[in-house]
Amino acid sequence: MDGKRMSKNSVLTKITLFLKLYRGKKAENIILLLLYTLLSSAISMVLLVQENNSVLIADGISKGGFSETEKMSMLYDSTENILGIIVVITLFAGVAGVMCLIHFRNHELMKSMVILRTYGMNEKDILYKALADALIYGIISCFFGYVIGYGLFKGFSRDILGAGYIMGAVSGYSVLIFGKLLVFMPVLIILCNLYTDLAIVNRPIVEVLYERNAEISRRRLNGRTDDEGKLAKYIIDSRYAAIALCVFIMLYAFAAFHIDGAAFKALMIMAAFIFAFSYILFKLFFRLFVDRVRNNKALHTLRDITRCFMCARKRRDILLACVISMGTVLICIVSNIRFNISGILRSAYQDNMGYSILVRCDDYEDRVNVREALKEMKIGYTSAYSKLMDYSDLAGIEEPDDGGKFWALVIDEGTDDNTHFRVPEHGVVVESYFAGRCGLMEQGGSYGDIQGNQKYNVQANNGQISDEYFNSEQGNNRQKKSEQGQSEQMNIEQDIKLFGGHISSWQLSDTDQYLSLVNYNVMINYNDWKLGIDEEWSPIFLIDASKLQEKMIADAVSDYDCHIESASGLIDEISQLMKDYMRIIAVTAATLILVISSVFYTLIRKDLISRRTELYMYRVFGATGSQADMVVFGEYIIIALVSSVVVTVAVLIIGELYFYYGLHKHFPFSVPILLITAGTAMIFIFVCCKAAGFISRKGAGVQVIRDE
Amino acid sequence: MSEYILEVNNVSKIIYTDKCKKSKGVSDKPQGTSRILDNVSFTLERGKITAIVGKSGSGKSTLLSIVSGIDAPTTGNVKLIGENYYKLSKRKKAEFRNRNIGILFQNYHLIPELTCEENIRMPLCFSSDSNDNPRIDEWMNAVGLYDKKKLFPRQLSGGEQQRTAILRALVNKPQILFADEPTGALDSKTGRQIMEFLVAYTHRSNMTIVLVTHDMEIAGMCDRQIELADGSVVG
Repeated sequence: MDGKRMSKNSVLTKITLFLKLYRGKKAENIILLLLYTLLSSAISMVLLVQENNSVLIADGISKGGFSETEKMSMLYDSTENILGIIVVITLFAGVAGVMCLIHFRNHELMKSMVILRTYGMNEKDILYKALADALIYGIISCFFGYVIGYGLFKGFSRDILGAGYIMGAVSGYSVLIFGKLLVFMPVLIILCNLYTDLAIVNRPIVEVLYERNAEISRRRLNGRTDDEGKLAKYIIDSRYAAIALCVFIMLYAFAAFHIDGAAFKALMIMAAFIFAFSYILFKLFFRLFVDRVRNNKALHTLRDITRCFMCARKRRDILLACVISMGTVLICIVSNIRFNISGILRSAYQDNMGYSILVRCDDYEDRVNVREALKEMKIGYTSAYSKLMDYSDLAGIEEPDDGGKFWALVIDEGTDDNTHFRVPEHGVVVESYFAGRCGLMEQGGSYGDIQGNQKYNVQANNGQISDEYFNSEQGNNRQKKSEQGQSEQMNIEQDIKLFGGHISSWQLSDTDQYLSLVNYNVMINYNDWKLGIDEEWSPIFLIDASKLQEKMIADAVSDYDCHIESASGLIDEISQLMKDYMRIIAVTAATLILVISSVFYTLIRKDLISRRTELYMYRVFGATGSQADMVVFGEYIIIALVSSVVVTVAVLIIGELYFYYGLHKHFPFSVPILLITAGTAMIFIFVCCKAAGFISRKGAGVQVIRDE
Repeated sequence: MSEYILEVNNVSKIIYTDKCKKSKGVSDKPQGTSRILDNVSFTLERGKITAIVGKSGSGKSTLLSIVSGIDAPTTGNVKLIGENYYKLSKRKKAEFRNRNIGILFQNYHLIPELTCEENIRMPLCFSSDSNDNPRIDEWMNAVGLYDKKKLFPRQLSGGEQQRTAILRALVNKPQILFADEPTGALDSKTGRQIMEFLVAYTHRSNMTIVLVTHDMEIAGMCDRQIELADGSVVG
């Protein structure tokens, strides 16, 4: 009993001792607390927004039915996916920033830690130190962060959604969301502390106290003492903490935020690519280049001195490169959304849908006039007919219990060779929802599944085609990627009649039609089915045109009884929704920029202070104050330049792949905006350097160079 | 228990120069290496004060680092209080250091974030036996630090800092104290006072002291002297 009490007291005493070490680090701890709070507020705000949207949509489904809510849920789903991705990048960048600051704060305590070790501190005590840090700073920041996050959520929700903006159920989730936050922050702080402290505590004592290269001499001892193994262990231990941190963030992001699985997977692949790209660049090119220049070139200018210091502080440089890279990636995406959302959406619409304008003629006879007008303007089109049909019109399919109608689209001719509207002979393309209702297939989960997870099974009815069929060799051979690119289709032989015709092969499509102007449920080739087009059908012209041509077409068909629906309206709607979300995203991005600014400012300032003697020496030997500062700034600016350019190029290339393969869509980034972003990142670092240099000179006190 | 508190057997220390970094394993060739200690052997009896003397670069501080357990030898072994120190596990080493060893540095190495009293009490935090030493106030009073116990190291003079470091080294009542030039940063009068305090304490408590110095006056106050030259014991 006494022993236990003693042990508890001992732990408490150790924790008190560790906290006392932070006495001289008030400024750093305040900045860290601020960063933790900002990170907490961003996380809680996003969690609350996403939870509220889920409840809002679920409520809409229960009141208005699935079809009413489907479009809204799809739009929210996309925007939340983007929000989720941005918050994950923010998390990584924020964590890298926090890690930087913790690293530099703890690094300054290295000598004290080594003395503690001399007097009996062991590795377990490092965990107590991390726990103390997490308990105090983690919980305080969670509390304040949540309060700020909740305030932001309420403010944004009121502005965006108006009355009834917060669903009642969210209040119930509040505790859960706070719990999620309470898990994240302390674990983050513990792992960040362990990453730095494990490296410090296992560093040879003589190396720190006597500044002798004990590490190298020990490395030579391979097999002679047990310290070699322990030295290797310290390197691995520190890495374990970093790996654990990355895994933890990924798992947390996946579990806590609403991110589509495919998007998340693609994001991780993108991150891995960027990491590999940066690693190769820094490791193979940058370091070799610097070493080579250093070995072959004598010192002539102050810039040569900067080159000597390049990559000399590996851990710092890696952390810096990580922070800059993450920040640049985020700013690339955010700035593209902010300044180019309409452009991206329009390109995406045209690429993914194959058209941007729909002309619907109310008068059947006007189809000839419109066709002529389009031919005159030399504008290609795809001609079709549309009709709202009863489900009872379908022959061979059991009518759904609730009856109802569906939109059918019959392709007349594909005059502009648009591959999006090619339907195979005797084929039919149906929307998954339609197919589900008609019992042609079944979606995984309920129809109200707003996550859009569409996993197809062929329902065991007439054709009796089972999952095993798809897994079989025969089934696999019959599955193919459609020529339409964006549609994943399945070719299935089935003895079924549709519209009175016998289908030997038919196609199912999971094309997302929520962006479509047509909203068809069945698309069939007119020539194959001979449905008997009459005046009940509305002629439709699907045109792939630019915004400029849009006005010309509107003028040309204005004399006829036609309606024009253009993608612009829909894009504006989405763009508006995005802009509303942008305020939320902007707060998240601003949080990150604050984090990065604090990190850089603190870091550069510390570097200037710790290298004051070195800087004075340059000045003693003839450099001006700003020239001497540029030796230090040069390192940061070169790292920033390389990181931001590499990452921007990587975003451009990998971003395309990410959207194409991850989201099965195409959202082209704007190259000029990306280039401006890369430049901005560098200017940002330069401003941080100048600010730190200015403050440092102001607070330098007595100058060595007295005539200045 | 062994009659010797410290047994040093054939201890050598080789430092590898930068040129040798890229080669793998231990090179058989002496090129690129520097032998700091060469087969040093000696034993120390309990309750005695021993001075390690020698010129600059003779290996005094390296030897002290090795025998005090903060740097490993390249070859040879060190037995401290009957334990082969470098064969102990990491945790046992930490516990052993806390319980049995006190270390004094020339530059004191006080923790700047802790006050004078907190610096002295610091080793108790890592002790598994007891969390307090009731005699701390008495000791502080005896060395003239009681009034300064709330001050931080930067607010203390050199002598006060060294006295704080001494009390920190003694607070866990170690069996052996290692001191690296304990008076090197002090004036001769303060240095002598520090030494007198250490000698008196050693005789009272039967503690063993191993100190490194190049000051022959300080060495003269010790029971035994070990002279090092070019990494070897010469006297």
